[in-house]
Amino acid sequence: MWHTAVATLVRNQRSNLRAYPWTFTFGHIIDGTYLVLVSYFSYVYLIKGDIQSQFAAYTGTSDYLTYVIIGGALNLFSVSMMMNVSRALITEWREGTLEALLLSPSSRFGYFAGTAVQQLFRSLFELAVVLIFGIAAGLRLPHFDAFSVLIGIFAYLLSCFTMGLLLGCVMLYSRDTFFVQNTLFAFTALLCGFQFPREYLPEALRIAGEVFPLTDALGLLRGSLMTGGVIRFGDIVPVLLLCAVYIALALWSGTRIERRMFERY
Amino acid sequence: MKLRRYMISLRAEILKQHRSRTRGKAVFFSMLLWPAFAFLTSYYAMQPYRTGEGSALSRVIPPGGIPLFLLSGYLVFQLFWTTVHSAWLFEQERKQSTLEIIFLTSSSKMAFLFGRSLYSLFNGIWMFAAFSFLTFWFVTNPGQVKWAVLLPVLALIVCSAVIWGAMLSAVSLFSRDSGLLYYVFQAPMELFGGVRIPPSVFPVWAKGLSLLFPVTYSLILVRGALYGSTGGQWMWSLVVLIAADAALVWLTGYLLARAERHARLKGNWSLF
Repeated sequence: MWHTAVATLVRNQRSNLRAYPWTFTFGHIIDGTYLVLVSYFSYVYLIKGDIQSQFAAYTGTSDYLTYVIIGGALNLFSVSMMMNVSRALITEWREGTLEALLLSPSSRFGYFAGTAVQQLFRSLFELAVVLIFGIAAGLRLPHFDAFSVLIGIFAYLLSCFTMGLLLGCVMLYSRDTFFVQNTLFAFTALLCGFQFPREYLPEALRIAGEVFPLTDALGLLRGSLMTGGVIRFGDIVPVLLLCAVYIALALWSGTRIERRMFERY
Repeated sequence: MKLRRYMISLRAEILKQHRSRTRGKAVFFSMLLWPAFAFLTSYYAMQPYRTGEGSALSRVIPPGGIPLFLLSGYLVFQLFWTTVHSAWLFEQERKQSTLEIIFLTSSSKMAFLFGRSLYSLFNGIWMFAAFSFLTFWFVTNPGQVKWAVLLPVLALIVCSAVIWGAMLSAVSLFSRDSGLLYYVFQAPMELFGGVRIPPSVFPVWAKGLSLLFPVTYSLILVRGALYGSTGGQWMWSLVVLIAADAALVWLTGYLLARAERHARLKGNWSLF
């Protein structure tokens, strides 16, 4: 498995550096910067810092600007990571290398692990650029809990990874990337609470948001970053369980879809 | 006679677009679901703002007017966005090598660009427009709206969007990577056009940028008609938008001539 992971990592890194133009990276940076700018403009120019008192009750902090900038940056990061992981197999198919991959005895999980680690170079680069804008716009973290933040980051990465796996299966099944990915991102933007506390959503939508492990992982990570909230083991269990379900679903459906991949057309 | 030939080309291009771009049920997502979700997300993102008496927000957007404000924003944005879409897909004409064929025929190339834009607009907007008008009906006071102003203004905006899309398609004649337009125009057009935040509260540099997008003027016109306030600034926007449309039509023709000459001089007739 580790062999496959490292081999995939090296290959993807090479093909990224040599063959691919930077359209996606550039586009993600623009989108992330947009989220930061729109929050900043709204807060500073439109409402001049005039926030409901309810906001602090929901989030435990009155620093609206930091709250939305973290949300915007993490939204960009989740989109980027889910896209990079999920598009791996369908890109192999489009480039004509999927057959070779399916015939080889390499570990599928190792393949995805390599993809996920390699794409961190790109998504972390995008995140860093947007965070620079964010810090310029007023992102401040006076008290955070370092150990909890690490756990929160782990949970967040795992959620993005597992959601990317399942998204990749849907892409492979429907042979489409554009509609599938953007529909998912429309849902996550509304339901996961990146730009606003989920308490503002109607009951039904709030429950629907629980389907994504991203929702809880985002809450935990942002909580530990902003208010120094300590993440206990009990908090992280639901995220881990949900991720396990996603992985199981992705592996199970993945093998079935791969089997039919070359029969259908 | 010239007009008739132009119309034939226009019709042919629309028909061509229709045949190559109809994608079954998938259009439902891009036409209705995504803009509706973007609208909802922005709406909830504005919930933490204090709206009552004396709040900073109530000086810019009338109390209770947020849904109408955002909905008009997204409708106008979507109108322009569908035509940007046509320019964004322009590289397909190169990849499928239909561009050479069109350049070699005697049909009007202006009609070709406008046909693309026109089809993209009507194919992309009808569902979201229906959604918007239904929602308008619930959230607005129909007596306050100046219908006699709103409807002509909407017609003008549709024309402007088509002209804008045709101009961007003409720009795409110079490049093989028109995919970049998708990123350059989506987020900045939404921010600086004033979809979520009215440009009147922007700092000077951002106001300057917002003047570059026709979305800005269109939104001033639509919101003015919706709130029943058509003053001096409104008239100015109307004049600027019409003048900009005329200038853009001229620019499209100019770019087209330049691109064709460029292709004749520098390249061969295989344009990809």
